[in-house]
Amino acid sequence: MKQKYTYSLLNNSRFYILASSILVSIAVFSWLRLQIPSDQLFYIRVQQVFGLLGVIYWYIALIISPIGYVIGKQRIKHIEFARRAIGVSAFYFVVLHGAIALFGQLGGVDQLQYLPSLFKWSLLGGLVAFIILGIMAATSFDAVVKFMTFRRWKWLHRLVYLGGIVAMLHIWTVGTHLAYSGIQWAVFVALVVLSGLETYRIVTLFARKYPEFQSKDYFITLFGSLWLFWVICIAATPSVVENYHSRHSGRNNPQHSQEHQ
Amino acid sequence: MRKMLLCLLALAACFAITPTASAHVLITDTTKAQGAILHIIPDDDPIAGQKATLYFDAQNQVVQKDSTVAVAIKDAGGQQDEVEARIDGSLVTADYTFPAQGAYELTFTIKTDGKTYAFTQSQRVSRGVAASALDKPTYPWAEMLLLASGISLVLLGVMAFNRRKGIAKQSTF
Repeated sequence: MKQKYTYSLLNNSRFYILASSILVSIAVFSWLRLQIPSDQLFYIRVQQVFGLLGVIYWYIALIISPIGYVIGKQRIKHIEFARRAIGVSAFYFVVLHGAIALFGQLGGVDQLQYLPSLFKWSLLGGLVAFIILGIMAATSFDAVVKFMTFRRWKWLHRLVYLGGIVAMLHIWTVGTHLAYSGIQWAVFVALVVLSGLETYRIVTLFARKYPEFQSKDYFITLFGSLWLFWVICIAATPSVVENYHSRHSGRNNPQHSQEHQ
Repeated sequence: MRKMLLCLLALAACFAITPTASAHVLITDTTKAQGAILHIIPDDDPIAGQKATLYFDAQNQVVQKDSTVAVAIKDAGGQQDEVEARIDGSLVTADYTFPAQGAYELTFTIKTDGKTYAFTQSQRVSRGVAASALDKPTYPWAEMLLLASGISLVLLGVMAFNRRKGIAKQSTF
């Protein structure tokens, strides 16, 4: 006789990811409060750490799908299943980051008027990324997928790449972690890997639709040139997009520029 | 599968192992009409007994070439130091060594085109020379929360480990 399978929340990996995200946020908040006596500095550090956690979770959620395409979805089926919870966790950390930055560090919405224009543009980019990530999180439930149909849901969720680009611009323009050359290299490598995997997926799908591109020479040329294009775009960002921190780094104080080596 | 997890963990570590970073603090003048960004090296967290550099970036052309800028730093006992400041575009830079840990009040007074703008910001110095150390505030709630969340994380990990077979069976599409 076939045994009836019963669903258990405690056997769902998504439960553990979401619960651990909440616990990590509480632990980080409490630990930083104990470490930093100054309220202003506490708000700065806590929003920075939550922002960083949001970006890490977002990156992991983004890279799972192309990795599955390269090495086989079956091999990472459990991580693929957990992906939605990772995305929701990213949104959770981004909510905390935004709320603490706006109400703690800045002191409320009415303080935005005093910010320089680059800050305002950057925060607008952050808001766009936040809304996109919010839509992704709100539509991450099985019932919504069923209601929208998988095809439409998938198209909607491709917005996450646009959100990722806007988020990177937000981080680059006002984020101070990226002033450090070591962090710049880590981010560059991470983005080059992600763009390479995504390009491989796109070119493979393209070649499947247009069989004349399935020959090795065409495939490699198309893949190589597209990836090179993305790498150039990523590498060129610091020289094309202004960073607020660079407005005073190295000016008047050589120690400041040394700090960021 | 394990290699994948290791790769993801290594990548996360690249982001997580970061040096302390600085940030920019928004301050407004006493009339709440003008805003400025204040940034202090090192890390917006000055060390008593070591030189700190204050960067003050005012908006809306409050600082111009012919502006006069006065920077005053007052400690909790009321003793005030006038600090020499340099102007470079809209940026005012001043070097100062906070003598000891404590609460300070930074005031930037700018005179431009006959108008005077005063920006004040309180700054806590909690690193370095501890001649007049501040009472370190205690946060019992934070200690409790840290302990509770740490124990809960360990319990969650143990629970997930014990249920790994059930999780592997159920957590797939």
